Amino acid sequence: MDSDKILIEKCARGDRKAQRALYELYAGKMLVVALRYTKSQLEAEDVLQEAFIKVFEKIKTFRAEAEVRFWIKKIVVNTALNSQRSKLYMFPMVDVTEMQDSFETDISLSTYHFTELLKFIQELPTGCQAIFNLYAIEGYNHQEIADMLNISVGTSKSQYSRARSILKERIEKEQLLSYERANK
Amino acid sequence: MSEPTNRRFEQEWNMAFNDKELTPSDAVWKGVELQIAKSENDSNKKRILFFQLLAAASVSFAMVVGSFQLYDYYNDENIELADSKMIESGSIDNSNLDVDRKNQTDKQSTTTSKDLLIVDTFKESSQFAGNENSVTFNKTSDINNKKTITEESNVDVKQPIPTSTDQSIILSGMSDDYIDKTYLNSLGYDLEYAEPSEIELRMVPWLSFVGKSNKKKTHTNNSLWAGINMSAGTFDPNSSNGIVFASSQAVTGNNVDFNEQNDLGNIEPVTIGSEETGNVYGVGFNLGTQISNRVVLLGGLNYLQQSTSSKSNVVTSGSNNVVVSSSRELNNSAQFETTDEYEIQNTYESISLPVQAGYFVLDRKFNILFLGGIANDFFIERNISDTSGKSLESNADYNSDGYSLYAIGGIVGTQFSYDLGDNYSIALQPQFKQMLNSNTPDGNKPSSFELGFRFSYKLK
Repeated sequence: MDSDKILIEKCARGDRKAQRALYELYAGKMLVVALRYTKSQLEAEDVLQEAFIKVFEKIKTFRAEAEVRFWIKKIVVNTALNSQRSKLYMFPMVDVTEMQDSFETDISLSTYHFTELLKFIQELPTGCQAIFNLYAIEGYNHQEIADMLNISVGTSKSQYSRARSILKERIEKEQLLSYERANK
Repeated sequence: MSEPTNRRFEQEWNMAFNDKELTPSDAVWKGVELQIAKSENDSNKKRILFFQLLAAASVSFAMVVGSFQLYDYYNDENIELADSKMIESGSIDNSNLDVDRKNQTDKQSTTTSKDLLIVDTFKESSQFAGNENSVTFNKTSDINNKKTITEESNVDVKQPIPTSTDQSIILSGMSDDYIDKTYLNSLGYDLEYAEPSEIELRMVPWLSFVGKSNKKKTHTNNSLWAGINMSAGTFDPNSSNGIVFASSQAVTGNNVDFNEQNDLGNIEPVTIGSEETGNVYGVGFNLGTQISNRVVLLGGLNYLQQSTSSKSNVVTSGSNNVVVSSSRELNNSAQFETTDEYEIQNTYESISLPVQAGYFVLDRKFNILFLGGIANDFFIERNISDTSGKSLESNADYNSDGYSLYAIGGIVGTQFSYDLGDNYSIALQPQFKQMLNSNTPDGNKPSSFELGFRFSYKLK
């Protein structure tokens, strides 16, 4: 924490080495975050670059109430959402009665490398992808997601359910393929 | 739809991406670094531009403030210059006043919204003060400070500003209630903030030819100047020692043997004429010091040569015929004889130490100084000579019988000077001197009128 504080102070003074150090400390993790919200590596790196530019522009305003990594992650997520905003459109309210009230799954993701899971997420529709990331991984609730994306809570829920359904089917399909490969 | 109760799915996904990293390409950091540098340059440019604008604004502000200060400085100089002048009484011609203004009656409280500057009390002898169209002001205690007139000093404004052909009135910073702008504007002046010096010059036409100078005179108390001077004029011996004897028998005294008979056997009268008005020339140096704003002390050392003429037909008899210029000489033991009438030149040489006090009537680039004082004359020699050269001259000094070393006289005069730059000045000084006692045994108390020229240099 103290080292982070010193690093941030140096970055605020415009110390290029400190800025590079901060970047290298968090760029890898933030790239993964950016990949979850985008469709390609190139797009994710654009988001990452833009996010870190914002980080260094706003680092003087950073308050040490929270850890810096959560602050950077929030910037990356917001940058990613802004880059996808043109692609995000108002999803029509889905009749929730069509959705399953509960999902029981025995899917285990431990057998999958996270890069494969990234591919599964990137295959989701843009709206579902954003809502899934915000709810399932970032931990926002649907109200917060609705406020962030300027959608209704119902839309958020329905889209999330859709995302989950898609991912479940994708994973089950992948597991079936793996079983068939293993039995050949 | 209710929230899923089984959050295992979400937990699986969360754990699947927990602390996972991928290495971005180098281009990412390069892009970040490039943008940071660009932002810093932009901020530096903005900072430089800010300081440039700040410097320009500061210079502009300083120029504006300086301009206002300069304007106030020269304005105050004119006001102070006017304040320092006290015009003595004189006649004021109100005949040129407009009827409307004459009939205008406006008694106003003198407590005005604007500060009134110098006010001065006109002397009772002033027509202006005694005129019903007069304006009377109360004298402020400090003419150099702006003060409002108290309520006691009510001003009956019928004629705010008089005209004068021979007297100037100093008005400083009068409020609009007291200044007839129409009248003043008719003179071609905008007197929103009237410059008293300009008013003065207008009201005294002859002074209009004087170059107006806003430059404050550098005279200060204890300033000292020195110079050289030369003078010339008329010298009146005020002599009454001439005599005319019809015949030698009328002459009393010892050893008077007049060969008064001419070739025709007629008796020649004895004629010794009185000294007539002659000339005076002087040269010397002078010193002066200013002891107050208007009062100066002057002194100096001058060599004077005063000449008169007279006629006589008497000479001492014998081989050396010496001129005889006064009847007093006939009482000595010499032998005298009459001759043809001849002209006598009397030349008096003396050293004069004048001490005078002066008062500046006008103290600008052109100055007028009233002078008065005493002259301490120290007699050197008197030379009496025959202009024809036929008779021998005689000389007398202060050791001679009847002569004295010291004589005192009174001097009055006026000095008209013009400043040449800051340190030099030239002056013309007409003055009149009347001796109060006499150096000569004749007891004459001569007087003289001289016109002097002075060239002075300011020492400090």
